[in-house]
Amino acid sequence: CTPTVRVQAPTEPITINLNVKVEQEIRVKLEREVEDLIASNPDIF
Amino acid sequence: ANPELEAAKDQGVVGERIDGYLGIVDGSADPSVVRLVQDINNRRRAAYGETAERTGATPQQVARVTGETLIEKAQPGEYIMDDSGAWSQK
Amino acid sequence: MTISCAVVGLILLAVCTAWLLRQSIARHYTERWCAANELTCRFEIDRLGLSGVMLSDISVANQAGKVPLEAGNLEVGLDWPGLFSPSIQLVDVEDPVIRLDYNSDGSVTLGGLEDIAASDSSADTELDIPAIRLRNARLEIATPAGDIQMYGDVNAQLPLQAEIHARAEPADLRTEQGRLKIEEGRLDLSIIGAAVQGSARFQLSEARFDAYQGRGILLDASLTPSLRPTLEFTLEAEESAAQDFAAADLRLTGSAGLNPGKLDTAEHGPIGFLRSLALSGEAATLRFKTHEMTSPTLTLDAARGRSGPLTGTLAIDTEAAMLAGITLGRSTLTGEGEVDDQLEKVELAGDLTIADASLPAAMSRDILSPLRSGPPFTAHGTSLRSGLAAAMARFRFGTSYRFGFEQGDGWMLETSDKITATAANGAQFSLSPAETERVLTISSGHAELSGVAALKGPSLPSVNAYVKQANISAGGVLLETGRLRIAPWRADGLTLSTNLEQLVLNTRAAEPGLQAVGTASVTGRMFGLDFANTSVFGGVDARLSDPLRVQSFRTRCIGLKSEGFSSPDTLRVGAFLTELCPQDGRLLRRANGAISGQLGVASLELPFESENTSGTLALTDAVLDWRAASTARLNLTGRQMAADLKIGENTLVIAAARPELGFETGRPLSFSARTRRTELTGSLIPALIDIETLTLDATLPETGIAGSGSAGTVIIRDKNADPFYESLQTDLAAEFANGIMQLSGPLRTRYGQREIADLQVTLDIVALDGEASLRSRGLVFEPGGFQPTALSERVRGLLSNARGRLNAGASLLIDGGALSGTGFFEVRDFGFDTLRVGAVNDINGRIEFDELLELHTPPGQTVTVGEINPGLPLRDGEIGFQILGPDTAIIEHASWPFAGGTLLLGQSQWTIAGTSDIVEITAQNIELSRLIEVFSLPDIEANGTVSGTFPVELQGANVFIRDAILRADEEGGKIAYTGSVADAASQADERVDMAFRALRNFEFSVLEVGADGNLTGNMMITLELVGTSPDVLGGAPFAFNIGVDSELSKLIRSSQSVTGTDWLAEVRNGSLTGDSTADDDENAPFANNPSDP
Repeated sequence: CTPTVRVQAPTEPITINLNVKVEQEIRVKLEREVEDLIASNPDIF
Repeated sequence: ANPELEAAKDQGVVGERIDGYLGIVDGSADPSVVRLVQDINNRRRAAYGETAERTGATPQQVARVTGETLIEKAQPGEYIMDDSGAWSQK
Repeated sequence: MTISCAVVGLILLAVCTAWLLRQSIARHYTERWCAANELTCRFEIDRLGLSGVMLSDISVANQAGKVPLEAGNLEVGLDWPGLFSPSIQLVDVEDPVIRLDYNSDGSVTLGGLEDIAASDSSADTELDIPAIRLRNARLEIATPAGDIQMYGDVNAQLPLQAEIHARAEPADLRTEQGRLKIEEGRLDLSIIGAAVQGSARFQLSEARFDAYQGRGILLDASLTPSLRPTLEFTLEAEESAAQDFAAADLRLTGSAGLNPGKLDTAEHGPIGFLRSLALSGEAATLRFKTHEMTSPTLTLDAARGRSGPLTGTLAIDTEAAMLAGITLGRSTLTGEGEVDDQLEKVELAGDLTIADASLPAAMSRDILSPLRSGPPFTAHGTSLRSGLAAAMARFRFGTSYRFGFEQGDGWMLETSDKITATAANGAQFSLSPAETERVLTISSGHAELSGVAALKGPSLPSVNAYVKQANISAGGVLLETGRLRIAPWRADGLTLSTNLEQLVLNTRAAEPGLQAVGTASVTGRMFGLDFANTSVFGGVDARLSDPLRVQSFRTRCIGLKSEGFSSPDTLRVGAFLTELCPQDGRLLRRANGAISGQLGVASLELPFESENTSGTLALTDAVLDWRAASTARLNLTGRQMAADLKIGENTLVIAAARPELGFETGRPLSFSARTRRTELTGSLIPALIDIETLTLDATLPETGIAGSGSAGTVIIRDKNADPFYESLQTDLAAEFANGIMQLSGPLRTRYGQREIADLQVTLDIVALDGEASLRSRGLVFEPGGFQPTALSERVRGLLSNARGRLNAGASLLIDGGALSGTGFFEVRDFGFDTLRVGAVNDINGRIEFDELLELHTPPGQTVTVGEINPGLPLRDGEIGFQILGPDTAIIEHASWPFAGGTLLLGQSQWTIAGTSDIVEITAQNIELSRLIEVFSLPDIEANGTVSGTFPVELQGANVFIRDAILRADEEGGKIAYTGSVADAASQADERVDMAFRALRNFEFSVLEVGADGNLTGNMMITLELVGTSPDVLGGAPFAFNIGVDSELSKLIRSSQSVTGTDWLAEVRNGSLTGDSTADDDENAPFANNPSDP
């Protein structure tokens, strides 16, 4: 999507583009959790 | 193990997807299989939510990992769907 | 007859003893002879010579002083053929008087002389009889009853010629038992050689003996002068009676040819002397025992062949008669036959016609009383009896006959020609010979019939039958027929007709019985039911004793074919054909007034019809137990019953095992039913119903069915291929009154046996209108426990892991069997898990269905949704919707309070079981400050509200927000970010540092929050801020374009664990010049989603 620029103040506004990446990789524990998950719910896996 | 699920998988009507949910292979199956898949997916989503809660991961991630695990465990001849979205037989 | 021989005897006795030769010897001898015989003889000898002797004044008296013999004078002419052997030539007596004694013991004595005469004649056999001449002789017979005087002349030259003229004086003889009053008696007889001629005339005014009584008797007989004498006679008697016979004004005339040689009845039999007999007679009345004829006439013409028995013809005609109590009108009997001389064998054959006979009512009642029949043919028995009685009241009768009588053997009457009897009222009976059979044989109290019989007439059945043998005797009737047909015979509304090949009726046997093979059919009202043509065929063996027992005969079973029957008010049964096989070998039994029976029916199909119900009832291996008296009771037990009904436009199929049905005709008709496993299917029933045990006891009064019933262990299954609900189980109790059925019972899940609801049905059985209501029992669901899928598989995948309380109810209208109606669902603290929007909890509300069976609700249904988390935790939402059917619903509005404002879901079409939908969300007055709280973003404050509308696409587990734009409203707002920018970011560009300093206290006039991506996965949030910060550059305008690429769900979930600006940890160097940032494909969702149906 493209932000649009609106002129509010008489002078050219100072435009700042920022991109934030929120990344939280929590991978490690999942394999074991998933094994438990599958084992404990046989009727849905 | 869920006998109807096993049967559906053996008949190649249902397969595991990489996103951790079940999918209907050829798109048309009788209503009871569709309902079975929905019921299992609903309950899988609830299960993923719980696991995510406990582990701080997102349900999406738990689902993904489970998907990968299930595809790896799938019996030969069962259908699986990878990221490409296409069904293939193991 | 006895009279004439008495006369002849008289002549012989009249011959006097021989006259002694000589007067003195004669006198001496005579006196000695008289003395020897204790007699005193007095006589004057006028002349005693060789040529004869003349005596006068003769009298012979015995000891008792009685004078048995007297005479005026006696002349005896002698002839001396031999010297000392005189032979008397002539005896001529004048005025002789003979005095006989007729003693009470019946013997005739001549005052003692009879002994002498007897002994003399026997000693001298060759004494030939001289000519005897008695002139003016007198005979006095002294009888205990009085004296008879007779006088006359005898002139006999035996054996060649004799002439007798005798007259009897009027005499009146009396005894206690009898009386003989003779008015006139005359006998003139002349015998010339073999020719006998003469005449006799007797007139008795009264003659009463123990053997015979008579009054006004006149006998006039004459003997024609011919070699073969013929006695012409007329006999008239005002009254005469002998033993059993009696006649009044009897008049007989006739001529009998005599055979003088056979006069001795002992040797030649009582009628041996008859050569021929011609007789005609009439009488005023003739009576024999109880029989009586009025003015009968008789003609008889018999003659003897050369030497055979007397044969001839006979004709009797009578004006009227009373024969054995039967009054007869003009009747004639003609006959031809013979009778043996000993009167021991008579044979007669001829014709009998009776013009006008009638049986007295009492007699016909007695004769007909055995013809009785029990229900249902009582009326027929009565009509037969009355028909026959009416016929017997006046009828004509005619037949030929052959009669035979043999002494010691009894008599026998038979006929081999057609017998016809025609009644005045037109009734007719005829019996005609079949082949050469004799038709009727009656002998000494025993009658036997055979031939082709035909009967018809008013209130009589028209019957024709080939009677092989029918013998009727005092002991009873034995009837054996070949083909017997009764034409349709109607009595009291019931028409009977039969067509039998064989019938054997035996009422003489110790146990009277009837055997019949053939067909019997009835139509009309029987046992309270109206039968169309119904026929029974086969063989029947009935013991007619009490109790009546009927077995099948020749054929093991009895065929029953009917064109149907109907009960007067409602039920009509159509045509059926079946075979009834006796169970205990017995078809029918009658005891104490009722007929009953037990029959096996291998298979029976009964089509039937009542007001608006029709169908067929089929039974296999049934046993029919019936009892009929005035009403009929029917019990039917079978192995299998199927009823295929059409009720109005609907169909109902009932299949039942081991049915026990009971019917009892009567007012009203009552019936009961017990069945084991029963299945109900058909369009009438909205479900497949299996019942373990069914009971019903009801009656069918005018006002409609009344009674009670029950259905045990009822399994109700939805008949759709993909059933709406799982099979339920119930036990129903039913009450019937005025045609209305009230049904009620608890509904249980079949497998869990959990009571889930109460069913109540009120139904008008005939019109099939009514209502049904269902009230649930407050259902509590819990994951892993009781789940909605236990109620219906249809909600599988819809309400997974259901929890909370559910109440439901349905009120259905039944209109002519069609169901429609309303219902409601009420949930409290209800929740379930879904794939798309995850867990949905605390739903409360009540959904009203206006067409429950189509799962259709009116618009405006609302429920409150405590918590839903499609990626964003939304609480206390309220959804207004309308369900259109099992699959689709319309969300009219949905709103959740969110971050100080509300999120609104626009009007959208929702596929309940679908997996992909697009909905439009409107965010209204979302307060930034609350938004920050929701995401608990650290180091940032803001105020002001934003709003906006954006589409959300739900696909499988993914919730995609497409280019959502939330704009701040005009007043703008303030934002203060006090977090520190990661060093890397600030060093890169001092402008960034300045920017963040501006952000510490930034008043924005434009704030646009954009969001795009997968709410449950990666989201691209863009923040566009335009505004100024008083602390930086004197309030110079700033425009920020901040893009945050994160996993919002993780952001939300893990926000607590986010410390400081981690979420801003990695700020990628975006260009500061405002150009668009390339769309980051890398974490875009999968190109195509797991396709779903």
